[in-house]
Amino acid sequence: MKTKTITRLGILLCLGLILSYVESLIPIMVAVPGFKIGLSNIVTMYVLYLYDNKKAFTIMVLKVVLSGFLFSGISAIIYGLAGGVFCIVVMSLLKKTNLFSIMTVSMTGAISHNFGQLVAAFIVMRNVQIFMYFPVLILTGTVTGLLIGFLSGIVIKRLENSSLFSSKDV
Amino acid sequence: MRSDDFLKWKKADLYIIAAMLCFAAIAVLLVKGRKTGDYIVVESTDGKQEYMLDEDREIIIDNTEHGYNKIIISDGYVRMEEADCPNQLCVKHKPVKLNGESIVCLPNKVYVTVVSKNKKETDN
Ligand SMILES: [Zn+2]
Repeated sequence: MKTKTITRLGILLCLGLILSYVESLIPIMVAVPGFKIGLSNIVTMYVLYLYDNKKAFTIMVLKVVLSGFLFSGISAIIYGLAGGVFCIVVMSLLKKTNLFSIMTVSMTGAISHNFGQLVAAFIVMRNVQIFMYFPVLILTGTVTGLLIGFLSGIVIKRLENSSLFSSKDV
Repeated sequence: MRSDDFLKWKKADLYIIAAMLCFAAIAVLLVKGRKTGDYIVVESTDGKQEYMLDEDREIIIDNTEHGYNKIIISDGYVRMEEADCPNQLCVKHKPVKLNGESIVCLPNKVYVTVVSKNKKETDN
Protein backbone atom coordinates (compact mmCIF):
# COMPACT_ATOMS: atom_id res chain seq x y z
CA MET A 1 0.00 0.00 0.00
CA LYS A 2 1.13 3.49 -0.75
CA THR A 3 1.58 5.91 2.11
CA LYS A 4 -1.12 8.04 0.53
CA THR A 5 -3.63 5.20 0.67
CA ILE A 6 -2.76 4.41 4.29
CA THR A 7 -3.21 8.06 5.21
CA ARG A 8 -6.54 8.29 3.44
CA LEU A 9 -7.82 5.11 5.07
CA GLY A 10 -6.68 6.51 8.42
CA ILE A 11 -8.67 9.69 7.85
CA LEU A 12 -11.68 7.61 6.80
CA LEU A 13 -11.37 5.52 9.96
CA CYS A 14 -11.38 8.70 12.05
CA LEU A 15 -14.47 9.87 10.20
CA GLY A 16 -16.10 6.53 10.97
CA LEU A 17 -15.27 6.94 14.65
CA ILE A 18 -16.70 10.46 14.70
CA LEU A 19 -19.90 9.17 13.08
CA SER A 20 -20.09 6.34 15.63
CA TYR A 21 -19.76 8.95 18.35
CA VAL A 22 -22.44 11.17 16.79
CA GLU A 23 -24.71 8.16 16.56
CA SER A 24 -24.12 7.33 20.23
CA LEU A 25 -25.42 10.83 21.06
CA ILE A 26 -28.71 10.34 19.23
CA PRO A 27 -31.32 9.08 21.67
CA ILE A 28 -32.65 5.72 20.55
CA MET A 29 -36.36 5.83 19.94
CA VAL A 30 -36.88 2.16 19.12
CA ALA A 31 -36.53 -0.17 22.07
CA VAL A 32 -35.28 -3.14 20.11
CA PRO A 33 -31.91 -4.64 20.97
CA GLY A 34 -29.57 -4.23 18.04
CA PHE A 35 -31.34 -1.24 16.51
CA LYS A 36 -28.93 1.23 14.97
CA ILE A 37 -29.10 3.97 12.36
CA GLY A 38 -25.69 2.97 11.05
CA LEU A 39 -24.31 6.43 10.25
CA SER A 40 -20.73 5.22 10.33
CA ASN A 41 -21.62 2.65 7.71
CA ILE A 42 -21.29 5.50 5.19
CA VAL A 43 -17.53 5.17 5.66
CA THR A 44 -17.62 1.38 5.23
CA MET A 45 -19.65 1.78 2.03
CA TYR A 46 -17.23 4.40 0.80
CA VAL A 47 -14.24 2.09 1.28
CA LEU A 48 -16.15 -0.86 -0.18
CA TYR A 49 -17.02 1.04 -3.35
CA LEU A 50 -13.82 3.03 -3.90
CA TYR A 51 -11.26 0.60 -2.49
CA ASP A 52 -11.97 -3.11 -1.98
CA ASN A 53 -13.60 -5.74 0.24
CA LYS A 54 -10.51 -6.39 2.33
CA LYS A 55 -9.97 -2.73 3.15
CA ALA A 56 -13.66 -2.30 3.96
CA PHE A 57 -13.44 -5.30 6.28
CA THR A 58 -10.35 -3.93 8.03
CA ILE A 59 -11.90 -0.48 8.47
CA MET A 60 -15.06 -2.06 9.88
CA VAL A 61 -13.12 -4.16 12.44
CA LEU A 62 -10.96 -1.23 13.55
CA LYS A 63 -14.00 1.07 13.77
CA VAL A 64 -15.98 -1.37 15.92
CA VAL A 65 -13.07 -2.16 18.24
CA LEU A 66 -11.94 1.45 18.67
CA SER A 67 -15.43 2.91 19.08
CA GLY A 68 -16.15 0.08 21.54
CA PHE A 69 -13.19 1.08 23.68
CA LEU A 70 -13.92 4.79 23.31
CA PHE A 71 -17.71 5.03 23.65
CA SER A 72 -19.74 1.89 23.99
CA GLY A 73 -18.02 -0.93 25.88
CA ILE A 74 -16.80 -4.49 25.40
CA SER A 75 -20.18 -6.15 24.80
CA ALA A 76 -20.80 -3.64 22.00
CA ILE A 77 -17.55 -4.82 20.40
CA ILE A 78 -18.69 -8.46 20.39
CA TYR A 79 -22.10 -7.62 18.90
CA GLY A 80 -20.63 -5.04 16.55
CA LEU A 81 -18.06 -7.47 15.17
CA ALA A 82 -20.61 -10.24 14.68
CA GLY A 83 -22.91 -7.83 12.87
CA GLY A 84 -20.07 -6.27 10.92
CA VAL A 85 -18.77 -9.57 9.56
CA PHE A 86 -22.23 -10.60 8.29
CA CYS A 87 -22.72 -7.11 6.89
CA ILE A 88 -19.45 -6.90 4.94
CA VAL A 89 -19.68 -10.45 3.57
CA VAL A 90 -23.24 -9.94 2.28
CA MET A 91 -22.55 -6.47 0.89
CA SER A 92 -19.39 -7.62 -0.91
CA LEU A 93 -21.25 -10.51 -2.52
CA LEU A 94 -24.19 -8.35 -3.62
CA LYS A 95 -21.99 -5.59 -4.91
CA LYS A 96 -19.97 -8.11 -6.92
CA THR A 97 -23.04 -9.18 -8.91
CA ASN A 98 -23.51 -5.60 -10.17
CA LEU A 99 -27.25 -6.25 -10.17
CA PHE A 100 -28.14 -3.98 -7.29
CA SER A 101 -28.09 -0.29 -6.50
CA ILE A 102 -26.01 1.00 -3.62
CA MET A 103 -29.24 1.49 -1.63
CA THR A 104 -30.06 -2.22 -1.79
CA VAL A 105 -26.48 -3.26 -1.06
CA SER A 106 -26.58 -1.08 2.06
CA MET A 107 -30.04 -2.33 3.02
CA THR A 108 -29.05 -6.01 2.88
CA GLY A 109 -25.94 -5.01 4.80
CA ALA A 110 -28.04 -3.44 7.54
CA ILE A 111 -30.37 -6.44 7.73
CA SER A 112 -27.51 -8.93 7.85
CA HIS A 113 -25.78 -6.75 10.44
CA ASN A 114 -28.88 -7.08 12.62
CA PHE A 115 -29.02 -10.79 11.96
CA GLY A 116 -25.35 -11.19 12.92
CA GLN A 117 -25.99 -9.37 16.17
CA LEU A 118 -28.91 -11.64 16.97
CA VAL A 119 -26.72 -14.68 16.28
CA ALA A 120 -24.09 -13.30 18.68
CA ALA A 121 -26.79 -12.55 21.26
CA PHE A 122 -28.11 -16.07 20.82
CA ILE A 123 -24.64 -17.50 21.47
CA VAL A 124 -24.24 -15.30 24.57
CA MET A 125 -27.76 -15.73 25.97
CA ARG A 126 -28.47 -19.27 24.71
CA ASN A 127 -32.05 -18.27 24.09
CA VAL A 128 -33.89 -18.77 20.78
CA GLN A 129 -36.48 -16.14 21.76
CA ILE A 130 -34.00 -13.45 20.79
CA PHE A 131 -34.85 -14.10 17.13
CA MET A 132 -38.35 -12.74 17.85
CA TYR A 133 -36.79 -9.36 17.24
CA PHE A 134 -35.70 -10.21 13.71
CA PRO A 135 -38.93 -9.15 11.92
CA VAL A 136 -38.81 -5.70 13.49
CA LEU A 137 -35.10 -5.45 12.77
CA ILE A 138 -35.75 -6.32 9.11
CA LEU A 139 -38.17 -3.38 8.90
CA THR A 140 -35.85 -0.93 10.66
CA GLY A 141 -32.87 -2.28 8.68
CA THR A 142 -34.75 -1.76 5.41
CA VAL A 143 -35.49 1.87 6.19
CA THR A 144 -32.14 2.84 7.71
CA GLY A 145 -30.20 0.74 5.20
CA LEU A 146 -31.82 2.31 2.14
CA LEU A 147 -31.32 5.78 3.58
CA ILE A 148 -27.68 5.23 4.54
CA GLY A 149 -27.05 3.62 1.13
CA PHE A 150 -28.49 6.65 -0.64
CA LEU A 151 -26.39 9.02 1.49
CA SER A 152 -23.28 6.91 0.86
CA GLY A 153 -23.93 7.01 -2.88
CA ILE A 154 -24.13 10.79 -2.85
CA VAL A 155 -21.00 11.11 -0.71
CA ILE A 156 -19.07 8.72 -2.97
CA LYS A 157 -20.09 10.62 -6.10
CA ARG A 158 -19.14 13.97 -4.61
CA LEU A 159 -15.77 12.85 -3.24
CA GLU A 160 -14.74 10.41 -5.94
CA ASN A 161 -13.14 13.13 -8.03
CA SER A 162 -11.81 15.34 -5.28
CA SER A 163 -8.05 15.36 -4.90
CA LEU A 164 -8.15 14.72 -1.15
CA PHE A 165 -10.12 11.51 -1.15
CA SER A 166 -9.88 10.13 -4.67
CA SER A 167 -8.69 6.56 -4.78
CA LYS A 168 -7.64 6.85 -8.42
CA ASP A 169 -3.91 6.78 -7.74
CA VAL A 170 -4.04 3.97 -5.19
CA MET B 1 -15.42 -0.33 -11.06
CA ARG B 2 -17.49 2.40 -12.68
CA SER B 3 -19.58 4.10 -10.13
CA ASP B 4 -21.76 6.27 -12.34
CA ASP B 5 -24.84 4.08 -12.10
CA PHE B 6 -24.83 2.69 -8.56
CA LEU B 7 -27.37 5.27 -7.45
CA LYS B 8 -29.88 4.15 -10.09
CA TRP B 9 -32.62 1.73 -9.09
CA LYS B 10 -32.51 -1.62 -10.87
CA LYS B 11 -35.08 -4.35 -11.30
CA ALA B 12 -33.31 -6.70 -8.88
CA ASP B 13 -33.55 -4.03 -6.16
CA LEU B 14 -37.33 -4.14 -6.28
CA TYR B 15 -37.43 -7.93 -5.87
CA ILE B 16 -35.10 -8.00 -2.91
CA ILE B 17 -36.83 -5.09 -1.11
CA ALA B 18 -40.27 -6.58 -1.73
CA ALA B 19 -39.07 -9.98 -0.48
CA MET B 20 -37.68 -8.46 2.72
CA LEU B 21 -40.85 -6.46 3.43
CA CYS B 22 -43.10 -9.48 2.78
CA PHE B 23 -40.96 -11.66 5.03
CA ALA B 24 -41.05 -9.05 7.80
CA ALA B 25 -44.81 -8.50 7.43
CA ILE B 26 -45.56 -12.22 7.67
CA ALA B 27 -43.30 -12.60 10.68
CA VAL B 28 -44.87 -9.57 12.41
CA LEU B 29 -48.37 -10.99 11.79
CA LEU B 30 -47.36 -14.34 13.25
CA VAL B 31 -45.96 -12.61 16.31
CA LYS B 32 -49.06 -10.40 16.75
CA GLY B 33 -51.45 -13.35 16.59
CA ARG B 34 -50.29 -14.66 19.92
CA LYS B 35 -52.40 -14.89 23.03
CA THR B 36 -51.73 -13.58 26.51
CA GLY B 37 -49.11 -15.50 28.47
CA ASP B 38 -49.57 -17.04 31.91
CA TYR B 39 -46.22 -16.60 33.56
CA ILE B 40 -42.79 -15.12 32.93
CA VAL B 41 -39.39 -16.71 32.95
CA VAL B 42 -36.59 -14.51 34.23
CA GLU B 43 -33.14 -15.66 33.23
CA SER B 44 -30.04 -14.04 34.57
CA THR B 45 -26.57 -15.06 35.61
CA ASP B 46 -28.17 -16.08 38.92
CA GLY B 47 -30.24 -18.72 37.15
CA LYS B 48 -33.80 -19.19 35.96
CA GLN B 49 -36.93 -18.16 37.89
CA GLU B 50 -40.64 -18.29 37.04
CA TYR B 51 -43.32 -15.85 38.19
CA MET B 52 -47.06 -15.79 37.53
CA LEU B 53 -48.29 -12.85 35.45
CA ASP B 54 -51.63 -12.47 37.29
CA GLU B 55 -49.98 -11.55 40.56
CA ASP B 56 -48.43 -8.08 40.93
CA ARG B 57 -44.90 -8.11 42.24
CA GLU B 58 -41.43 -6.68 42.05
CA ILE B 59 -38.41 -8.77 41.09
CA ILE B 60 -34.97 -7.42 41.83
CA ILE B 61 -31.84 -8.85 40.31
CA ASP B 62 -28.81 -7.43 42.01
CA ASN B 63 -25.72 -9.15 40.82
CA THR B 64 -22.43 -7.46 41.61
CA GLU B 65 -20.85 -8.74 38.44
CA HIS B 66 -23.62 -8.02 35.95
CA GLY B 67 -25.55 -5.17 37.49
CA TYR B 68 -28.93 -4.21 38.84
CA ASN B 69 -32.35 -4.78 37.28
CA LYS B 70 -35.82 -4.22 38.71
CA ILE B 71 -38.65 -6.02 36.96
CA ILE B 72 -42.28 -5.20 37.77
CA ILE B 73 -45.39 -7.27 37.13
CA SER B 74 -48.57 -5.25 37.32
CA ASP B 75 -52.03 -5.58 35.77
CA GLY B 76 -50.91 -8.64 33.80
CA TYR B 77 -48.05 -6.81 32.14
CA VAL B 78 -44.36 -7.12 32.84
CA ARG B 79 -41.88 -4.28 32.43
CA MET B 80 -38.33 -3.36 33.29
CA GLU B 81 -38.65 -0.60 35.84
CA GLU B 82 -34.99 0.12 36.45
CA ALA B 83 -31.62 -1.03 35.21
CA ASP B 84 -28.08 0.23 35.53
CA CYS B 85 -27.13 -0.83 32.01
CA PRO B 86 -25.58 1.82 29.77
CA ASN B 87 -28.08 1.75 26.89
CA GLN B 88 -31.34 1.58 28.94
CA LEU B 89 -33.04 -0.22 26.07
CA CYS B 90 -34.77 -2.63 28.44
CA VAL B 91 -36.25 0.23 30.47
CA LYS B 92 -37.58 1.92 27.32
CA HIS B 93 -39.13 -1.33 26.11
CA LYS B 94 -42.91 -1.28 26.24
CA PRO B 95 -44.58 -3.50 28.85
CA VAL B 96 -45.31 -6.97 27.48
CA LYS B 97 -47.88 -9.69 28.17
CA LEU B 98 -48.24 -11.81 25.03
CA ASN B 99 -46.94 -15.35 24.84
CA GLY B 100 -43.37 -15.29 23.51
CA GLU B 101 -42.78 -11.59 24.01
CA SER B 102 -39.67 -10.66 25.88
CA ILE B 103 -37.64 -7.86 27.36
CA VAL B 104 -33.91 -8.21 27.18
CA CYS B 105 -31.12 -6.43 28.98
CA LEU B 106 -28.12 -7.55 26.99
CA PRO B 107 -25.45 -5.70 28.99
CA ASN B 108 -26.65 -7.19 32.30
CA LYS B 109 -27.51 -10.56 30.74
CA VAL B 110 -31.09 -10.45 32.01
CA TYR B 111 -33.80 -12.03 29.92
CA VAL B 112 -37.54 -11.84 30.65
CA THR B 113 -39.84 -13.97 28.52
CA VAL B 114 -43.62 -14.33 28.68
CA VAL B 115 -44.72 -17.96 28.49
CA SER B 116 -48.11 -19.60 28.11
CA LYS B 117 -49.11 -22.66 30.16
CA ASN B 118 -49.64 -24.61 27.01
CA LYS B 119 -46.10 -25.86 26.44
CA LYS B 120 -46.79 -26.83 22.86
CA GLU B 121 -47.28 -23.22 21.91
CA THR B 122 -44.12 -21.96 23.47
CA ASP B 123 -41.74 -24.69 22.41
CA ASN B 124 -41.91 -24.15 18.69
ZN1 LIG C 1 -30.76 -2.92 30.12
